[in-house]
Amino acid sequence: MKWNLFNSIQHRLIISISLMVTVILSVSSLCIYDQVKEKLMSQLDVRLKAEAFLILVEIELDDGVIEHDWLIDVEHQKEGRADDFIQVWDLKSGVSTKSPSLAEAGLEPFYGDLDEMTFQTITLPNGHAARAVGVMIYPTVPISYTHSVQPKQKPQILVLAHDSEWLRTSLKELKIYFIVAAILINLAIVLAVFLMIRVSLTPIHKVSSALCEIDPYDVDSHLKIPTRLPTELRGLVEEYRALIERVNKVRRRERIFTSNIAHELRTPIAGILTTVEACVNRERSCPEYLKTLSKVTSIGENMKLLTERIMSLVHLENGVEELQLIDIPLNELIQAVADAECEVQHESETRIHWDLSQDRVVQSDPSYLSVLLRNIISNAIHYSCDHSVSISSQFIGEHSHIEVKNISQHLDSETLEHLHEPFYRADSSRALDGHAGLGLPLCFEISRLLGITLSLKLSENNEFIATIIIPNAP
Amino acid sequence: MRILLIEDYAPLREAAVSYLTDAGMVVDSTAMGDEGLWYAENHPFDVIILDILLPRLNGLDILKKIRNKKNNVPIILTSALDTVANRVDGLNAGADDYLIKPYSLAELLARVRSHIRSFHNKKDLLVNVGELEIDIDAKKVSHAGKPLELSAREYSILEYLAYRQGKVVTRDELWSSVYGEDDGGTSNAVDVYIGYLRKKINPKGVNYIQTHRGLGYSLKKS
Repeated sequence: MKWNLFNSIQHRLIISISLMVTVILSVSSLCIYDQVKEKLMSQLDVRLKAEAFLILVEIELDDGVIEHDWLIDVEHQKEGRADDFIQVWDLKSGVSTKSPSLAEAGLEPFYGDLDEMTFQTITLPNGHAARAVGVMIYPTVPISYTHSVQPKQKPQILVLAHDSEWLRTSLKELKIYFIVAAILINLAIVLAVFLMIRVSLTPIHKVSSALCEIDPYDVDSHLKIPTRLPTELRGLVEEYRALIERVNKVRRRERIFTSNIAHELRTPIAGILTTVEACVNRERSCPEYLKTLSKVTSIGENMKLLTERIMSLVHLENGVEELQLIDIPLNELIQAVADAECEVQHESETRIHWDLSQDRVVQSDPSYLSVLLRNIISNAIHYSCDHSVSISSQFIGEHSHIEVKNISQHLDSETLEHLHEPFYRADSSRALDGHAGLGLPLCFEISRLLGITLSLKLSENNEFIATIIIPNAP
Repeated sequence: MRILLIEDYAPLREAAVSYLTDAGMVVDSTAMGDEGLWYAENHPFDVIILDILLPRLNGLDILKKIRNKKNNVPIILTSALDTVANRVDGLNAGADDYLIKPYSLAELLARVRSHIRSFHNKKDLLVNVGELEIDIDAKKVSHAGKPLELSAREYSILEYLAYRQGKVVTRDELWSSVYGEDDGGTSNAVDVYIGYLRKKINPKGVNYIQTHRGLGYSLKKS
C-alpha cells in the first residue's frame, strides 16, 4: 500500500508543525550558542588584551638591547603567567623570545595595532585550542633614556595565547544539550499536536460515522447530528442533511413513479386478460372473435401510447434528446394543433374561441412544441365543463404569450400544485379516455428543455388558465 | 343471481359482464360511482363487485355508505392498488373480499359464488328436498337419481329459491334477480316459469315449490 503522507490533514499538520518547531528550535539554539560562544570569547579576549598590555610594558629597550622582563615572571611561575604561551619576535633582528611553555615549538606570528589588536583562535603545539592575541609594539624606555637607538627602530610582534580547550569542550557539550533538548521538545510538541488533532478531529469522525450509518435504500433515513458539534462543522452538517433530504425525496419520487407505472400498466393488462378469458370461455362466432381481437388491439394501442409517454418523460428528464431549432410561425402551429385535437375529440362538441394577434415567428423545436401545445389544448378540451375553450396569443416585448382557458371540473388550488407530478390526476378514477396523468408533466419537461415558461393557474371563477411564454425568433 | 358491477374501465367491465352472464348470473353494470351507489341502494343484489378508483364517487366511499345503511350485501373490492395498507383499508371499511387486478374471471366467478353461499349459509353445495337434489356447483338437478333437463331461466329460478330454502321470495325479487332490469319481462313471466319448473321437478302429489298467496314462492325445506 502506497503511503502518501500528504493525503491526510492530520499528517500534514504533524509534519508541518514538526518541521516548523525543528527550524525554530534549530535557529534559536544556534543563535543562543553563538551568543554564548561570542560572550565567552569576548571575555577571554578582554583578559588577553589586558595581559598583553601588561607584557608589552615589560619589553624594554635598554642600551640598544631588548629586555624581556616578563620572562622573569613566567620563570618564577607567577599567577596568570604560568599557563601563558608567549612569543615575541624582533622584526629587526628576527630573533624570537618564547615562554618556557612553548618549549621547542613556536607560535605563528600575527599582529594588529595597539589600538586594534588582532585576536585569533589557534591550535597550540600540544594540540589544544587556544585564544591568542597578536599586536605590534615598540619596546618601552625609561623617561631619561638617551641612547641613540630609538624604540621605533625596534618593532616587536607579541603573540599571547591562552589555552581554551576547556572552552571548546564546554561549547561542544552545550551544543549536544541543545540538540537533545530540541529533539525532546520536538517530540513532545509532535505528541501534543497529535493528541490535539485527534481530539479536534473527533467531531468529524462522528459526522463521518453518522453518514456511514445511513442506509442508502431507506428513503426515510436521516443524518443523526452528534451532540456538541463545533460551530465550524454545523454549516457542513446542515448541508449534508439537506442533501440527504433531497436525495430521499428523489428516491421517494422514483419509487412512487415506478409504483405508478406498475399501477397504470396493470389495468390495461387486466383488460386484455379478462377480454380474452371471457372470449374463450365458450365457443363464439367469427364476428365475436374479431370484435374481441379489435378490443385487445385497442387496449394494446393505449398501452403503447402510455409507455411512449413514459419513455418521453424519462428521456426528457435525463436530457438525452437533441433539439432541432427552427423558425416557426406560431399562430399557424397553434391552429394546426387545435384542429387536429378537435378531430380526435370530435364527439366532445367543444367550441374553440380564438383571439390570436398578428402572427409572429418563434425559434423552437417544432415536434416538442407541438406536443406541448397539443397536451395543453387536449386537456382543456377534454376537461372543459361547458364544452368551451378559449385560445389567445399576444406579443409582449420579445416574447409570445399563449393562453388556453377553460372552465374545469375537479380543480382547486391544492390540485393545481400537483398537476406537474407524473400520474397525478385531479379525478383519481381510471381513465375512461386513456389519460394517465402524464400530459402535463411532459409539458413541464418540454418547456424546461425549450426554455419556455409554462404556468398554470385557477382564476376566481374557476377558469383554468395555462400560459405559455415563448421567446420570439431573433 | 343478480350481480352489480361498478367498474370504470370499459374493457374490463364488458369482459366481466360477459363472463358472469355466461355463468348464468344477471349482471347490472355501470362506470360511474354515483350511479353505482344509486343501483346498490335501490335494487337488491346478491353480490356487488366494486372498483375503488371510480369517477364522481370513490369506491371506498360507496362501500361505507352501503354499510352505513345496514346493507350486508357481500361486496368484493377490486383494484390495482395492491399494498397491504390498501387491502387492510378496504377490508376494514366493510368489504368482504379484495381482488387485485389483473385477476382471472374464473377466480372472480368462484369468489362471487363463494360469497353468495356464505351469505345464505350454504356451505353445502348440494341442496336436497325429498328426492329432489340440486347440485349448485355443477348446476345440475336430479330427482330420485334421474337427471332433469331445465332451461337456464328455470335453473336460475330454482337456484335462487334453493339459496333461500324455506324463505318466501317475492315475484319482484325473482324477476329482478333472474331477469335483470333491462330484460323487458314482467313478474307474470315468473309465474309461467314456476309452472314449468313444477311440472319438471314435482312428481304427482309432491310440491317442492310452495306458493304463498300475495307474497311469493318458497322452496320447501328438507
